[in-house]
Amino acid sequence: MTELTAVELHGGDDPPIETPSIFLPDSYVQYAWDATSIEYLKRCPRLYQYQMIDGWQSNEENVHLRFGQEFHEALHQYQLVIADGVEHDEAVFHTIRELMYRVEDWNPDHKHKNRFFLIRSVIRYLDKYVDDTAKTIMQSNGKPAVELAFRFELDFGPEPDQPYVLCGYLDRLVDFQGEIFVMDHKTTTATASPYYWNQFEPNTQMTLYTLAGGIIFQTNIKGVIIDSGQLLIDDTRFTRGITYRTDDQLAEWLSDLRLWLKKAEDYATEGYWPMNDSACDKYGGCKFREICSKSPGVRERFLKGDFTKEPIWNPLKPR
Amino acid sequence: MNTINQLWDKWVGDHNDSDVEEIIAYYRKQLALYDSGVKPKKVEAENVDMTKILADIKSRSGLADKPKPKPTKGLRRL
Repeated sequence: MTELTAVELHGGDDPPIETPSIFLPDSYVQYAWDATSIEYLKRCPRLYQYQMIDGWQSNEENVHLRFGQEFHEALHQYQLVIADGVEHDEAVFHTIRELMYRVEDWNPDHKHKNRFFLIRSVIRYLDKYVDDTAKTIMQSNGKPAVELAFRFELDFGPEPDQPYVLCGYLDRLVDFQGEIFVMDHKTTTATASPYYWNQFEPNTQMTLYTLAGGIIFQTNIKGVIIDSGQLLIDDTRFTRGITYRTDDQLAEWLSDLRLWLKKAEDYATEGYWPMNDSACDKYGGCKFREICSKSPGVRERFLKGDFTKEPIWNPLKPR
Repeated sequence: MNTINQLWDKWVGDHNDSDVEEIIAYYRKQLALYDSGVKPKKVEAENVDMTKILADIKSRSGLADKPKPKPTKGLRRL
């Protein structure tokens, strides 16, 4: 199995540091990868280019991102308050009050991902899992294991003195029936059907999180518990799923990743990221499908019309 | 009971903690109603006799007297 070294672990209270670039100097060779950028690369190199190299983002995407970030932040705050010995109702009050201040000026015109559905979803989740059998693990510093940033180096890299770095955030580490799991939260408009849950096996994000959890705690992590909230008009319906990973599966994923990252190097060196036109209709349809369906000469014009250029997503940036 | 928009506007006005509590209570009540099977939209519609309304529409449009159309056989294969 590939040798892994944890190079940096920090929680949310660390002092701000200047965020390094995820690319090698003067190139588009990415050396620091998170689950999102790996998924873009695997799905379609052109999608990866539009998102990670060019920074194109749609307004709709910004709404989804903000909704997810605020939901995660609220659950994170709740866990911190609870760890201080505060009772559930009071912790909910503090969590919701802070959330309301944060989203006071955020009013997207979206049927499901808006501030009212957000507040309702947080209340629903916290009340549903008030006596959760999955218990948050406490770290040796006395803090709950929530919003854990991870970075670890692989034993290969794009340059001899620059190994690849895998990074990201774990929502929570929990003890569930005597085993340690990573816990991840999702919000979606999709029904939590078997079809929905199947997307997590196999799945880059869940495999990476299992791997990262094991490195942080130097112990065997069974997999990821996924709490998924389906946003309905009158309710946010939370269901829980578990996805397991064996050591062999983790090793296979890392072995495959070596080849994927080599491909990414080649694309960056060529300065060309080819279109995978058999993936356009997958995952509910790629957001760049209409752009890619245009003739190459006019794509830039349509991109400027439908998307905005945002700062490149940097998984090394502390939250 | 105030609507969520009214409660929100009230809170935005002076940021009172009591308004936060009201908003939490509002959602807990709404979710409890949902869990019990009572949905606000359903309650409003309970007094409406849809069968009678549909019969009236059919009668006025003449649809009630027309024979039902035969089901189509779908697309013909070329």
